[in-house]
Amino acid sequence: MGKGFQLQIILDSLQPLLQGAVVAVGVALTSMVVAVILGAIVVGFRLSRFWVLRVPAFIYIQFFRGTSLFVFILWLFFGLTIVTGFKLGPFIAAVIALGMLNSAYMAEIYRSGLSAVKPGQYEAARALGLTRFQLYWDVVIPQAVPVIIPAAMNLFTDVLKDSSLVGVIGVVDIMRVTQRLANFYFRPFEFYTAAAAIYAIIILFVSRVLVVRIERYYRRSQARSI
Amino acid sequence: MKYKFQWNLISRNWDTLVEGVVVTYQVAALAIILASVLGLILALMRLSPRRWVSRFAQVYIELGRTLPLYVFLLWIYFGLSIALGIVLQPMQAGVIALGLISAAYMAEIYRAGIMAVDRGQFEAARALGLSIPRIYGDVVFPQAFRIVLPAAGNQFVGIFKGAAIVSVIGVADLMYYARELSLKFFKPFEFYTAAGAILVVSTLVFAGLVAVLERRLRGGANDG
Repeated sequence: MGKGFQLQIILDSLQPLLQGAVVAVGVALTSMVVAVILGAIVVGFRLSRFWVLRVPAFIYIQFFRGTSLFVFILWLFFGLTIVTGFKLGPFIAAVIALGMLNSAYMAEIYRSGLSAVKPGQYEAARALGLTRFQLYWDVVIPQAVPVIIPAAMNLFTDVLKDSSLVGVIGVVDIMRVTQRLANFYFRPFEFYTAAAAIYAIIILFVSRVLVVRIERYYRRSQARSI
Repeated sequence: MKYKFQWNLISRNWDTLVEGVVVTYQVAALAIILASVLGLILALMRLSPRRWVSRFAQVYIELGRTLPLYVFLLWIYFGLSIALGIVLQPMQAGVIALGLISAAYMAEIYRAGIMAVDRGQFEAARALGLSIPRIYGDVVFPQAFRIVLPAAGNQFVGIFKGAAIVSVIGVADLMYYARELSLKFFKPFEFYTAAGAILVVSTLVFAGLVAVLERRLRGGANDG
């Protein structure tokens, strides 16, 4: 066995590692789409006038904010599927778990975005005789979006980080590939370092490049509108 | 096929589950202590006038906030220990990984707290001829403490939630026993539900305790 850090072994295995990274990013992106849609529904319930909708939404949000992904994903994949007899593939289970968990956080992001719109805006829109649809579409949403998008992007970096553990239910993501290669070549340090480096690059790209750009864009568009 | 629930398995194996959750609590408590101490050191380094000290802390904080806990945990336990030729117990590796990652978040929380203390307070303390340890110990920290409390409390709850993961490297915690028992009785739903319920209730109780403590400390702190 060679001494020192064997870079060559990583370069030779770069293809399966990058394939695993693509799977991880795929899980994160799909989950984020689920969280964005589901979160919008949950916040609709949360802000409803009827307590039958409001209370369950509140409990849903509190529950998922208190639950760790690791526990929920194991429960869903190994526990629930046996009871219901409903076979879920690892990828689907991972997306459902990550999507549901983060829909609670998304709901809170929507809520903070909506509460950033001043009450006077609602009153003015009503005084102008706008319909409910016009009120939301033309007045509220354009003002809430600049608050929501940057926060949602930050949540996405968390989803990316959380998606690293979907290997525990058998998704062949980068960590799963890494474990297999590390055991096969018996070079765990090299492979785990490579995996960590790939993760760091992906997440830093999103948090340092994408998020910063989007924040700048919205700050500028806000300045224009004033 | 109709599924037959066997909830009595939970009460029959209750002692094992409790034994596991105590380990989860231990991992969380030790990681919180490590993160709190190391985070403070990092925050002070980050604010140091010496360029390279500040730079080192900055790189550490950036990396710690970037790497996923799961990746870092496996890297420490399977990777680093082999490279360094040291044998880490799973429990040690779990506490170290969770503590080191969380220290980066704690450092940013402390830094925000220290920077929120009015500049005039530093200047006044220096004008009075206080030494650096006294400027921090008697003037800055008591004020920063109250600003830091809510964010630190949230972070502690986050560490507690993160501690659930350490069974992946073989720490005999709650999730470890939930898995063992699931395989033994082939009743994963019951055991994972019980484990999940225990952890959610623990998290909510812990978050409640943190909130109470926060209110009490805030009320007790002297404005001066």
